Amino acid sequence: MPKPNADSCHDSLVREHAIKTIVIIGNGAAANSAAETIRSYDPRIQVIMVARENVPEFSACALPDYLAGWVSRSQPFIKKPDDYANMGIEMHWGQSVQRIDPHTKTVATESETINYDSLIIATGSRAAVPALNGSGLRGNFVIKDVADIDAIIAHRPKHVLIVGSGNIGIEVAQALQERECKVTVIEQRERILPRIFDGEPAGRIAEILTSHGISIYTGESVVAIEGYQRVERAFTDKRAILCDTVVWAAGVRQNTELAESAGIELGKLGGISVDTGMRTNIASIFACGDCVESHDMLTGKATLSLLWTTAKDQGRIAGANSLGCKLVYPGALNLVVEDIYGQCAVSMGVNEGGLCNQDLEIFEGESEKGYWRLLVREDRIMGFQSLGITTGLGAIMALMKNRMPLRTVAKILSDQGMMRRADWYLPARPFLDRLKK
Amino acid sequence: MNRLIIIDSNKCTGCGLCQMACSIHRNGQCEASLARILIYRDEKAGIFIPMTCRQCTDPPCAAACLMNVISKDYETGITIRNLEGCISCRVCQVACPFAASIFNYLQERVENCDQCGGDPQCVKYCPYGALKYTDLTDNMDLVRDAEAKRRLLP
Repeated sequence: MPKPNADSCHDSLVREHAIKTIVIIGNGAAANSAAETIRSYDPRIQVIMVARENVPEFSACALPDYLAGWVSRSQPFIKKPDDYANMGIEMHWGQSVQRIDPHTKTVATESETINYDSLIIATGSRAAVPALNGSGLRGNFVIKDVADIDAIIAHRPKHVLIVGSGNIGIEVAQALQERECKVTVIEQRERILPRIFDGEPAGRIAEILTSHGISIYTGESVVAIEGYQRVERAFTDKRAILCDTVVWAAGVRQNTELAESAGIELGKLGGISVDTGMRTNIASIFACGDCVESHDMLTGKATLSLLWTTAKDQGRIAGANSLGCKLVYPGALNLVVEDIYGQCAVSMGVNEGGLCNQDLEIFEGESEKGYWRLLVREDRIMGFQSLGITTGLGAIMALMKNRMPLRTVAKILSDQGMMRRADWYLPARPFLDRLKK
Repeated sequence: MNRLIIIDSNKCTGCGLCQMACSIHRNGQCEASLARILIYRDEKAGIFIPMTCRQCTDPPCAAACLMNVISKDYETGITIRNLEGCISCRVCQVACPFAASIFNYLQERVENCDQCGGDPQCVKYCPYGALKYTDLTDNMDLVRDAEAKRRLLP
């Protein structure tokens, strides 16, 4: 849908009219968000997408729901195959880009060479499967696209071992439990959801999961998988587990090989290094999504944010800037919402592990609805985690995003007249009242 | 300019008729938690603040949506949802600063106010005139806005 006045005279939207063709490598959240943004800014410019798979855009976030059987197979798909043509996007299905030549401004696939004026790399990431004994046996799965889920369902799992307890691991554990599997989760670190939650909320979530029959072993790592032709048992450094299926949810690797071969710089964490406008070190080449290394909005540190929302946001910036705009990416802000057997677990911002700073103040509270935990540094909210609470979180999120000093918030809340003007802080009041001390 | 539901919280008494009207009209069931407008209540201080979708120009719920089902209708300025695609992950609920994404447990979907297609029932039933459905520019209380800004900014 074209945005009226998108091509406005706003300073940051000054376009370079020499750009005629934009090539996007990838077909994930970031790539599609970039394509839609370009279309909304300019209905005529040629947009070419090169996708490795033959499927339209889908939301990876809905894959566990499909695995559990809560939604149909068509639900994860966001676009239909002909939506691309309707949007005026030239889609090259089932082709992988072999080479990028920044000097002649071309990309080469197996069958053709495509010229570009701006190139957007959104190659995403792939699930990391360590090269262990038996990790190639039948019965090893990853969760990355709809075909992976089809394969798991066709495999008819009974006893499942899930390696890794990030949000994918936890969601898949619940989904397979729903399919009446016996589920075991192995986590290398000392608690589940280590990148998302702190010890206390993670412990509470683990309690809920175990009370529903999911076995969780933390502080262990899988060392080998055994079986004749298919997975029969797995060994961790502490125990042997009988299982017919292993799901690898232990992190991802950035697909950066293509970019690397074109001479694009990588960051310290292994993602494509980009500036705040999602530009790489080579002119007219942009990158966005899972494959890039961006910075955290709150701490400013380099981060590999692998979230859907981040990818969409980065795609929007990369798409606009590929047209010559000068939008600035504010940084990745984590927002994870998990449904833990009907309880809503929310984490936003940074967790304690991501801050590792002494002057961090932690406020915890418990109401009849659930538990919450607020991390404050330098009078600003840095992180918030809750379990079972659904109201008032949006205001906390907004305060965190705006980097609003808490003394200003206290000032507003103490004055009735001002409070009515800024009434949207009020649902967050139960959390903020504690801070007054 | 598009029309919006303008809230004057000074006039709200917290009677909850707007919620009832919304819930009955949209769900056929009388339940405040199903209404797409909610009232923040501080009974001790006597503060009642109705909150509903503000139809943001660049809605954070749409940016956060995991299924890309939220979009803007540029003709009416309303934030619309294609509820077929919603998997009720509730991310939009957390992303909305105004707590205006309401989880409807009957349909297991998250909804926002769509101004009843141009005839908002909550406004009709509000007995004290706390809700108005008008053009935004008519209602800008410029003096108070300027005063609030002056006091907010140090």
